[in-house]
Amino acid sequence: MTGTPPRDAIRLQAIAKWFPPPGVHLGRRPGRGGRQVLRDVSLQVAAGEIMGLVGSNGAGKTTLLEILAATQLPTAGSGVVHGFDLAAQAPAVRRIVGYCPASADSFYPRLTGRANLEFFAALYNLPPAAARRRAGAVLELMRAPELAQVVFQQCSAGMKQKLGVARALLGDPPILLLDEPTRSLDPDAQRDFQSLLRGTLVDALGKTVLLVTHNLGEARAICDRVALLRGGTIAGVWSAAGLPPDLRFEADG
Amino acid sequence: MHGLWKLRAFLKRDLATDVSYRLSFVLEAVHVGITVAAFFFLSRMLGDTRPEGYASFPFILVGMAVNAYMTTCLVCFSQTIRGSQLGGTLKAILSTPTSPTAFLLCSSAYPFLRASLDAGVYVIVGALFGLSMARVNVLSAALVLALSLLAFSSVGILSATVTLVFKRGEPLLWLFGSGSWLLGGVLYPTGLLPPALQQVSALLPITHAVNGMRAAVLGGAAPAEIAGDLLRLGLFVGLFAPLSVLAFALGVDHARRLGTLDHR
Repeated sequence: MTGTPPRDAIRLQAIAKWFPPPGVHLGRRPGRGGRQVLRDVSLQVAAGEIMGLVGSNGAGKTTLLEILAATQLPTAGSGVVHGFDLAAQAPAVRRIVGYCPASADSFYPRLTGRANLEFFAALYNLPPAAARRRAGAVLELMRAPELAQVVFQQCSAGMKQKLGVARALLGDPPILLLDEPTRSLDPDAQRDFQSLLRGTLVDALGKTVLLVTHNLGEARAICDRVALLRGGTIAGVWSAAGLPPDLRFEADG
Repeated sequence: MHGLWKLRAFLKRDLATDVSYRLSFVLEAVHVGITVAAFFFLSRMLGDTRPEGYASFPFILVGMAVNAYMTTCLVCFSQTIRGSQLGGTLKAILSTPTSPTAFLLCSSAYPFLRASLDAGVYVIVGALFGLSMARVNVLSAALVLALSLLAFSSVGILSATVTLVFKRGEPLLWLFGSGSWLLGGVLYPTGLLPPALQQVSALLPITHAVNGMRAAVLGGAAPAEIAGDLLRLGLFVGLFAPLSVLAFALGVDHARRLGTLDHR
């Protein structure tokens, strides 16, 4: 870890990403016949900030998060997360980033919430007793201790979503990448989660959050700034208070 | 220590999942028992035939047990990758500080334990049908087993790499698995094969695993007496183990570059 967190917790410079066409791609040059999902994305997220990332389906939001979580490499461009280079220091990036994917089904269906979280806690290098404590602690933090005993395949969509966020917190990471974490939550649970995110995780614990959401109300309520991703490129960045009331996700014309 | 904690977590996860399917747990043991019984009666049909100097039932039983280990090693790695891709857990795991290679190796621990359990069932049921283990040389058997597992796992990891990159690794497994079954001396001595196929057989790790294990378990051979088989297995491991780990690391890097890590 770096001694003092950099002022910019996340700094991206001219990131581009091409997806290949279906088939075999060994040795193929990136971009040949493929689909470009990100182009020239440059973005800074300050330490202790919640940056909202909005955009229509297919705008490249999830791909950008996966690049920041070091599960994908950019085709071009560079990025630094908490002082670590995304391409050259991917293992270090994974230690300081907590990633909650959009798919809430990425758990083991026959295990309870606690057993799932203890398993993933071990992947963050926690010894068994600490993994057990941490699993309990993140469920308490999520105000969902009852999930400990529920078998994952019996969880509702909202419960799965909470487990996904709880997993992202297991390594106590300074940076959280959350992909639509409130999508399946009921309105009360959404408000609870937003207050947890803003009040506890960011204001009290000082975490930095990049939050993908389709909910502009949510973005206005808890984000410091909001970036609009349109057609794979950053179309604008606003303070939450300054978000245009008629903001459209889709490209004009 | 991190590695041991992770290994424990993977074992605990797989045991909990396996125990939740109690019936299949029991049925697999029954399947092994039935297989052993079938080969016992087959060996009675063979009468006093003594392949390579051993009674036919223990000869077949050891071949089957080694083949069961090989099958586990071949399939468990690519099953881990494919299952994690389909279940959506691969990306979640690889977004943690756990390396892809550590993930793959830890995931294989439980299948190896199950294969050992199956081998135990082979021995127990075999004993019920008169198998004698009086002459076992434990050191030789342990050496053959360790080198065989490493050799078979190397092929398994290569297959997992193919699965990761091309999403289908089964053809490689079928080719290697059925080729080993046919040419490796599992059920009959390799001396019965045509000379050209005997040369191919000598290149397969299962041939030396089966030879060495039969000599250690049934003939009580000391390590020096099976040095040739141990050496060939060691050469295979020395060549393919580093190659497979390197190929897998490159495969993960390739999938991360293309963004196809969890593509199905």
